Amino acid sequence: MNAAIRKEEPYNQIFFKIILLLLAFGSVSLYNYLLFHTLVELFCVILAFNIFLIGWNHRNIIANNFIYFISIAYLFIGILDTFHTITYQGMNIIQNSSFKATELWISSRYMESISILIAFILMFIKKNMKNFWVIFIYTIVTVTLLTSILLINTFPVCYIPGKGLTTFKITSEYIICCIYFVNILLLILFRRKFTGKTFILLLISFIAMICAELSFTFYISVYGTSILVGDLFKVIAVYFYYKAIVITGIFTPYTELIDKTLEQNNELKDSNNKLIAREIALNKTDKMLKILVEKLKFAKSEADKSNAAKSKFLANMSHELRTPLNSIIGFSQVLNEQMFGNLNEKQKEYSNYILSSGNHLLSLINDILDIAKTDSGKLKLFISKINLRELIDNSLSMVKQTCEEHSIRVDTTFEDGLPIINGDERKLKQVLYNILSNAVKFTPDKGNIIVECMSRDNSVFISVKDSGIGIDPENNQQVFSEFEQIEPSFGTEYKGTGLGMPLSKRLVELHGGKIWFESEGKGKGTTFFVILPILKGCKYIANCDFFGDSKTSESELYKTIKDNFCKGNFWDCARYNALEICGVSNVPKDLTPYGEARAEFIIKNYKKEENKSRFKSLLGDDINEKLIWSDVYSVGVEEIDEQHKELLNVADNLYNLINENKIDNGEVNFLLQKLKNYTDVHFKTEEEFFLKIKYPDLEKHKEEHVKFEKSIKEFIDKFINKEINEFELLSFLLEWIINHICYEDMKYKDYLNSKEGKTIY
Amino acid sequence: MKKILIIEDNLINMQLESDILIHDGYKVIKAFNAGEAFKLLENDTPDLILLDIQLPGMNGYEFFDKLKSDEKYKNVKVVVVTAQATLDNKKEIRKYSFDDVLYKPIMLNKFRDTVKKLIDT
Repeated sequence: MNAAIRKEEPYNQIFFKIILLLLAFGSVSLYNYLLFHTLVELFCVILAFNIFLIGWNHRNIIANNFIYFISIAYLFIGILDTFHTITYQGMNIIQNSSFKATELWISSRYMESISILIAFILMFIKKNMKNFWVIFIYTIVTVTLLTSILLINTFPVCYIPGKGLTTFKITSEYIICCIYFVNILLLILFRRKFTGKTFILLLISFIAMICAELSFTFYISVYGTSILVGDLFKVIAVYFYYKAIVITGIFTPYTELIDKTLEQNNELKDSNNKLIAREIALNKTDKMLKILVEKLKFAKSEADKSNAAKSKFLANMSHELRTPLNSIIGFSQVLNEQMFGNLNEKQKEYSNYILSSGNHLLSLINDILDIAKTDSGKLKLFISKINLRELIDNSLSMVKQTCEEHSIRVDTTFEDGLPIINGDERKLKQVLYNILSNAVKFTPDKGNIIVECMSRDNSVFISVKDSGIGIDPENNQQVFSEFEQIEPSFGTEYKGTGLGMPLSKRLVELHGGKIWFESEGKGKGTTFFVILPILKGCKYIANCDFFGDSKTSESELYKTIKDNFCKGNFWDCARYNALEICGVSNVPKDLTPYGEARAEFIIKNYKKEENKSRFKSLLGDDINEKLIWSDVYSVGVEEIDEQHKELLNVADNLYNLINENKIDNGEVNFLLQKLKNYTDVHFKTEEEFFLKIKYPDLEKHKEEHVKFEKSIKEFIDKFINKEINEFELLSFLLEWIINHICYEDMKYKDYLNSKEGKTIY
Repeated sequence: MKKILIIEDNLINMQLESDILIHDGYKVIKAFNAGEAFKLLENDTPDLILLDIQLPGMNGYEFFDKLKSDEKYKNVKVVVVTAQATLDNKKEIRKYSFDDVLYKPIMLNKFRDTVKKLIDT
């Protein structure tokens, strides 16, 4: 199809046709001149109308303004030419029309030449024309011309019988020739706007038109030879003109369209190829991601494995080291006790050395294992209430003997009203012992050590100042790095493992505290500082049993609470408060802001057998704080149950994240936001539901909702501002969710149950 | 004379424990693994068993379970003496109703006191 449209008529065919036409017209003129003229004019008129139709019908696809404008002009030129034909001398169609034909002819030629000129100008100024105005103006001009020529005879006379052509006619023909000449120049100027063939055809057409016009300047009779020649030239001009329009009007636009289509087709193919390429790339990326995920999974499992391997190694190590130590320490103790006979002084001294070295080795092993545990995050704190004064006094008693031996004076200053803090007593004692024994070790005989303790804001400060050898500030880092005891200049008299301070640092940090030292330089003594936060609530989560089984008596329960309350579980906060409520111990009230309610809840629920099972299944069988949905919590309204499940789910995710120490990845904040949103939706749903069922405690329940919304915002803000830690936040959230689902909402479940049978929801 | 069965695979530690106990006036029977211990138990019922956990073959836990499944030994007191002293070990040990637990290295006084206390009651 493409090829068929592209096949243009070759020049030789065009010329062949025009010659045939000219011969045909010429032979007709020999028979009857009037018939010849009429046929020529009709031929031209038909072509003129054709030009108009082609242009008009293709106006939407003709990119060339020139052709388009011309095609409109030819409608009117055709009209004028029609009048010219029918008024021609001898036609006798219109009375007294004898010489009107010449006037019509000249006006038509003016219109034609000027139209072509305007078309070129339009092309030059590149302005889009409005169909309406073009047609309107042409109509006016045509009507005016026809009126002036045919009706009111105001058009200048062109032909006087006998005399021949008037000056106006001859001048006009020259003017028209000039216009065509200008047109030719413009055509050459705008050559690039036309295809090669259109250009040639137009050029021939214009030249033929000039020739025609020139031959019309000579005639005296309207049936003269020059007119015959002129008419034939006109045939040439119009025919070529027509061809040019057809090529430009039909072939070119369609060719352009086809080209465009082909181009777009190629573009489509291109983009299709690009899409395919992208898809392939995406597939690859996808595969790579999958591989990456697999790799990560593998890495994680490897890490888990290696962690497990590490734990196993540590356990084995501990066992294997303790077994021979058992003999060393055990037998040296037996010797020391002289259980199997007396020892002489030297033997006593030696067995003492063996025992103290054995003990030293044991503490070394414990330190190494502790450090390994903090590395793998396995070291857990067992939080209990700590009286700082007792703690410091106990630690001091461990170095008392050495101090006496070296005549070192120890002064202690305790601020009045020191708070009770929450912490792992054994580990804090270890820290203080490490600091104190260091102080004693590095302080020369008759030196002194000052221990001070005070509280500021939410922290307690402990400082230990000695008059010892001091530490070069350059060595700051070394003091707290494993296996990097600062030794060289002090020689071997200050022996140690080098693990004491690094471990102390880790232990203090595990409490959320800080440890550092200041020294004015060598020989000027050193002061170690420890800051510990006064923990509100419990920070560290560990597994422990609490609820016992259903046979557990109340007194046993209290015993369990008492025995376990310092295990560091978030439930311990509750236990703390439970203890107080049970009168088991004098636990301070400000332990955790929401502890009291929760403790009350636990005790209340524990006492009720059915609620206990509710609570237990919520926590999971192993009471591993896993939040699991159970149908026991169903309030009987599917929508609300689903939302409760969702809340539990989010809280569980949060719990896992925090428990796995992944709090830095932003996911916590995301989950909190999610939880907040869920809660908002959930509350709205509940409140609407209450309205529907006319729940009598609606207002009270609403109050709870408002309270929670306020507090969750407060807690999240505090968490973001780092005023509270993640455990406090979690403890609050879990408490609320459990309180809400297992307690508050159970109230309306009871209400619904009491109404059962009356309404179906 | 009160009888004490020591189940311990390490020769030196066995000697340490037995020497101390013999010195304190107890009759000591020694077994180096659980199988030997059961053989000895066929003829002899001790007042107290000192049990190591990590033993060749049947371990301390399995020994304890098997022992307590026999009505005959319901009243025999069992003290674990082990070098397995990690938190996980301690958790595991707590699951069993041993009469007491001593971690190696043993401290002489605590060891003697614990044995004495359990034998006397």
